Amino acid sequence: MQSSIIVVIPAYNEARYIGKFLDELLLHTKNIVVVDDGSRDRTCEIAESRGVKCLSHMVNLGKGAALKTGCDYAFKHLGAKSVIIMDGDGQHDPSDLSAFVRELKKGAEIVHGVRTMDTHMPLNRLLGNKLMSIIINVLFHRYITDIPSGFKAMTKKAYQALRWHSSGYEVETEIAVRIAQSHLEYTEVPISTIYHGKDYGFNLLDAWRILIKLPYWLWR
Amino acid sequence: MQWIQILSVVFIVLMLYIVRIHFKKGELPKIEAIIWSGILLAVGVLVLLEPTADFIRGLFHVTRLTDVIVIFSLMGVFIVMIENRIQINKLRIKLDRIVRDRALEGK
Repeated sequence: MQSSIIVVIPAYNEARYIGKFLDELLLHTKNIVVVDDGSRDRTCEIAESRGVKCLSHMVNLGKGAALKTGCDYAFKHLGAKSVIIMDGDGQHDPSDLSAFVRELKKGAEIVHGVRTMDTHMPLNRLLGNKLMSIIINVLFHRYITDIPSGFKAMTKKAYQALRWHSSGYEVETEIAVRIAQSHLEYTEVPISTIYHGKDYGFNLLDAWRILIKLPYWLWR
Repeated sequence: MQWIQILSVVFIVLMLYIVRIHFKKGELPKIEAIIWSGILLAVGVLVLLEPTADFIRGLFHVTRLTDVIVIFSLMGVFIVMIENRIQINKLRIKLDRIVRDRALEGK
């Protein structure tokens, strides 16, 4: 993979999965930055033992803040032209990276990974995800299929345009809102997902909480 | 004395005690402790003194003094709530910046 594309991985207490995940990822690219978001386990140590750059937050700020740290580092310190964001728990398949790179080369400014909405996903999560997509579509006329998907790519220009305020998990929805509001070139690619049973997306309660925050993102 | 007055007095005494504890611990500046105590004592006077109550009722054209107290209390609660929200948000932004800057500097 080109050195101008950096893979950013936010991670929080992922010692159990991150080693195996990085081993597989390193077969595809060496351009990786892990952001350890105040983990209490050996997440950063494991990443560094594989020669991967690890940035550490002193305390847990949330996924949104970790993503910002990783993207800032990639664009400002490493001179990246694009970043690909993946979750640190190994639920994303590194072999899907090529699809993101291909779309970036074609000129896409944002590439969103779309998980197959198969039977592995509990019904309340499936409904929560669909509900959010429909709401964003109604409000902004852009349908984003899998809003909570953590596998996405963006160019430097897109990052500057999207720059989010959310610190926590709701960042995925804020990014979706900003994508929908922007006129950036957007595309989706299908991705395979390895579930560990802890992160399937939104449940209906998450969707409700995010709904309350929507006006704040709209008029900020 | 009515039950509502007794309850109000108990509440005021309890709140004065809480203000005192936080002041003693150094968690509440002297001026703030004085202001909070003053507000609580003023409410106590309103609750207990009938002539004052009559005057206030007449001033706001309400039949019950409790209505005046509830309206002003709600206004106070909203002010404190908004102020707290702003301060928490400011702190969150500062913490966010410090932690992220340190991470980027590799500390």
